[in-house]
Amino acid sequence: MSLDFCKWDPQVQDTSTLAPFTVLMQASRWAELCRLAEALARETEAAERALLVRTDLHRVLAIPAPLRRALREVLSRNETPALVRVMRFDFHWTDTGWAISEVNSDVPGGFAEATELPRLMAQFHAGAKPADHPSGHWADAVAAMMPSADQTVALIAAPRYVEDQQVAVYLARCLAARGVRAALAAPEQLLWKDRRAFLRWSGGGSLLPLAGIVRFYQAEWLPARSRGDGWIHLLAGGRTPVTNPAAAIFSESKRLPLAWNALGIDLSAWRRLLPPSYDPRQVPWRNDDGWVLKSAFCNTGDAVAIRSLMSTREWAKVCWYVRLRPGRWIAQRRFQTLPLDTPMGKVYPCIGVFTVNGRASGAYVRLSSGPIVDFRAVDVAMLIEPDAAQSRGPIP
Amino acid sequence: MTQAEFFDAWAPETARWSRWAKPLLFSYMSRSVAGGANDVSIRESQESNRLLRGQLPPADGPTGLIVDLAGVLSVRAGLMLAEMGYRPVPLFNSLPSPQPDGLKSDTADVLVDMREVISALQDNAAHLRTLSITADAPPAFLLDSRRGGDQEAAPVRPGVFDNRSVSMPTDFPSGHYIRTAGVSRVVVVREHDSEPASDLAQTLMLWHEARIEIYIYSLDNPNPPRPSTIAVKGGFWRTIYRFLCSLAGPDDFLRGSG
Repeated sequence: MSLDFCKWDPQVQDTSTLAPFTVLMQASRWAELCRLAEALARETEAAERALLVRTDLHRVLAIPAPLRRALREVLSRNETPALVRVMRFDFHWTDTGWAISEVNSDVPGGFAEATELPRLMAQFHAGAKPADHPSGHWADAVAAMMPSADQTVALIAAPRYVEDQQVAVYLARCLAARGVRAALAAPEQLLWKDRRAFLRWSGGGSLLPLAGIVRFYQAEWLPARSRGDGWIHLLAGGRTPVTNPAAAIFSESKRLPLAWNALGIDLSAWRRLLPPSYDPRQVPWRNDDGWVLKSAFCNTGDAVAIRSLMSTREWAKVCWYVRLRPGRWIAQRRFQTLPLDTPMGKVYPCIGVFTVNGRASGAYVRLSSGPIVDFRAVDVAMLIEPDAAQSRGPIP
Repeated sequence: MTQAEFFDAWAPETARWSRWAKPLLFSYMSRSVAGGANDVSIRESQESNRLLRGQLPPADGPTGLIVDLAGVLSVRAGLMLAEMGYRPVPLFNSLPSPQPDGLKSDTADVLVDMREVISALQDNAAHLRTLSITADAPPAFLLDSRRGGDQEAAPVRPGVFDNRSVSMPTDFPSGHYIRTAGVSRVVVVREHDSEPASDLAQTLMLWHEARIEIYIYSLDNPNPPRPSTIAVKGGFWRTIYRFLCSLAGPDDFLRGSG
């Protein structure tokens, strides 16, 4: 994983991040997850299209002001076309069936872990096979968008953070294997001419025209850049396709449920799978451990708070943040994930199902020792076994 | 040798500290062009090696090292320390190229040139394998002091790939782990006599809180290692850091994909 597939963080402080065992899921259960994920993806894209014109709801989603201005420009200048649309829905098996905690729809990670790790582990499990290969589907979709051979795609990642760069390099290698020239870059290396993107190359002496941009760079970070960078073209008015497009900002916000009722569209899968979610000012979260608090644009579980899992001091800090800026948080009813017995002991699995252009494409599975999936979670291969095989645990 | 063999030479599975070795540069090795260290850097490293041998304790248990020298000097120092019985653990995290399929020998379009580091790791792998380093030998973590870039020599500018990196506390074992492994003091080896870089200081402050003694040894100061002042300053800067965090909220200090 480390040398061939860019898993450059196999050790995070004292934790080895790759599990030396496999979890198994029955084929019918995996098929059910795929159907649910595809329904969620359809509803998500419908919600995003509706929200593009509902600028009155953008502040409700806690979208930063510069991004709200950029999204208004999408209306006047059109959204920069999408190269590929990829999302990852995080499923949990609970005491009341499947639930989701969130969708990662702007910059989902876990491609190598979801594609290569199961493939490597499958050789030890006769009769079981990987769920799918999201990297392959993603790279095929990008390659299919190239107008001709020998095109260049830039993968934009934040400098200095290896956890992002390793994903970008891995995906770049997947593209290179399909004959698409791929190069890593920081946002400032892009140059826009007539709304088309070029990559500044070799000390600035060369300009490479780009056929596509993979933005492995959170949309909410873009406003910190100078407007002169031209970052707005990654979202609005650009003629070089980008993945993921601007609309992903809406569904990346954990406050998305607060806008549902105003959209007037069918969101039945979302309503069934996501726990009830409210603005913190509407519910008694301070004194009720039945609530989990999340910041609107949290990722990796680092801004997720459950009172009983925190020290008094940490909880007091969260209370202060939420009281100071309640509009940047969401309060969600807790669900009870059923634990799995493993060689690591009892763990709580999170099954992140990828969709590529609306089609379920594989799963990134993480195991955490507690209810919150954070940077200490361990990646594990999930294989699919025939329904006739005996069930191995609480995931039937 | 293959990529896996190079990596195994620097991070054998049986060695206690190998889990923390960073595989990034090794994943580029089979596609790299061997550059080799030039004569100047070899002479400089030989001088550094002489200074190191004179002042650092033997690898007999309670002392661990963090070598924070420039590029290939760090690798050469690591090899010399291996000859003393330490386990060198490369923690280099700068991408060597913006291209996923390797390096071009005729371009240096990156802020931090890692080609010589890759070559040094390759060139010394076979020799490293011949050394008898015990499985629980104390660690010598290897960092590249150029990782933050040099704004004067190589300023950030359009067209040049920004491959700077930072050293994070999560790149190292915790202070608790270090102590249970029998390491009670850590010497930071630097080129010049100054306190550690701010990114590494975060790790050292955490280790200090776990009651690990922190010392500084510099190549341009022939005196024995001196206690770091990080303990004195650390509390102040951590208070400032925590105050700033409390104002900004958790989102503003988060990184990483979902």
